[in-house]
Amino acid sequence: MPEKIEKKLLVVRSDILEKLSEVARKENKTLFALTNEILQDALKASEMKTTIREIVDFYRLMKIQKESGSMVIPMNLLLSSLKKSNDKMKILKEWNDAGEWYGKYLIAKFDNPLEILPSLLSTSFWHVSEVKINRKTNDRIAISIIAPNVDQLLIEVTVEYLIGIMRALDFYNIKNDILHGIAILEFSKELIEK
Amino acid sequence: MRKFLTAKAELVEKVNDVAKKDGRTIFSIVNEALEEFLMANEKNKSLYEVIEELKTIEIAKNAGMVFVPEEFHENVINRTSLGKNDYKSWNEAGRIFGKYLEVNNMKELKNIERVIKYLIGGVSEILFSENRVVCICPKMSEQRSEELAEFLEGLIESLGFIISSKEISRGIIIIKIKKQKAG
Repeated sequence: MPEKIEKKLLVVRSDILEKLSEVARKENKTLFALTNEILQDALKASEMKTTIREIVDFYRLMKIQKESGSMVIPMNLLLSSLKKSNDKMKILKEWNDAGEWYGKYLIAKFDNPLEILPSLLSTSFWHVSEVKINRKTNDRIAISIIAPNVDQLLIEVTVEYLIGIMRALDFYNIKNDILHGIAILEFSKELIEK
Repeated sequence: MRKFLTAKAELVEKVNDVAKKDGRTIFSIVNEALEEFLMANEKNKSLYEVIEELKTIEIAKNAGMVFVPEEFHENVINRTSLGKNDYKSWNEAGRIFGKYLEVNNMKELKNIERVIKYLIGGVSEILFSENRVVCICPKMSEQRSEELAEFLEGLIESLGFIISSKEISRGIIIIKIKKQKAG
């Protein structure tokens, strides 16, 4: 005789229950089985010290990143390829161009790219321990990045990438302080001599 | 309006524990989870797939990887030829990544196939079976194919396989493998 499964009741919003029943029907599952699957996933998320909402949001950001033509490579190999090049200016220009393209990609994808940019940068700049975007006024934005354990060259290319993104979003770079492991940048809608 | 739904008692109890720990009601946690499931479902992705993909991202991040614009990387490797040390480094990176997969209990071939597909991006076909690894990505340059093959070799070996032969052409990698005998 099959073992009897102990069940418990959960209170849910009726609109959610309706949609859930529809999905269960479509997937040819019982509502009970589908609910158990979802709870299991929610518990898995909780074990990862996150929530399903955060996971779905993070997934959405990663998807944007991947679809924009980004790839992942080991950081040490990126650095060695950067250092191998004799033409640093060319490398910086290429990152700037790549940033500008990414900025245009964001314009094409979103009505307000500046709104999504902070979350995109925090989830995709894995080499940076902190990235902050401060919208000082409608026309001024400050971006700071902190990456204490990262090679200076990687910070420099990251800065160029950011300048490229902001350029696509119609912001000029007016201040650019790069210290060891820290970069503080300011952007303005108006071009001001640095 | 509120309604009732049944679930396995053990799961409900675990969710209840999480709710207590987080200082939330079980109602809010369950409804949030169901709502998010419905949202992911609309995008034709199951939560399981989303969570698994995020695990891959976490592993890549912890293994010291970074995002780079693909076009930039292709430009750089096409300008500079790959030296012995570069091959060695790609192989080493593959080995490290393989170890991270092992530590995270992702040694199943199906998992590895999915992880590689995610990492390579733009890949049109990837097959990871007990006797061969095939990767087809027509837009990949010869240089990129070579470095990727090195990465895959390192990864494969760290997972306990022996490489019996490999063929690399632009955009196509075929590596024949066999399982290392225990002991």
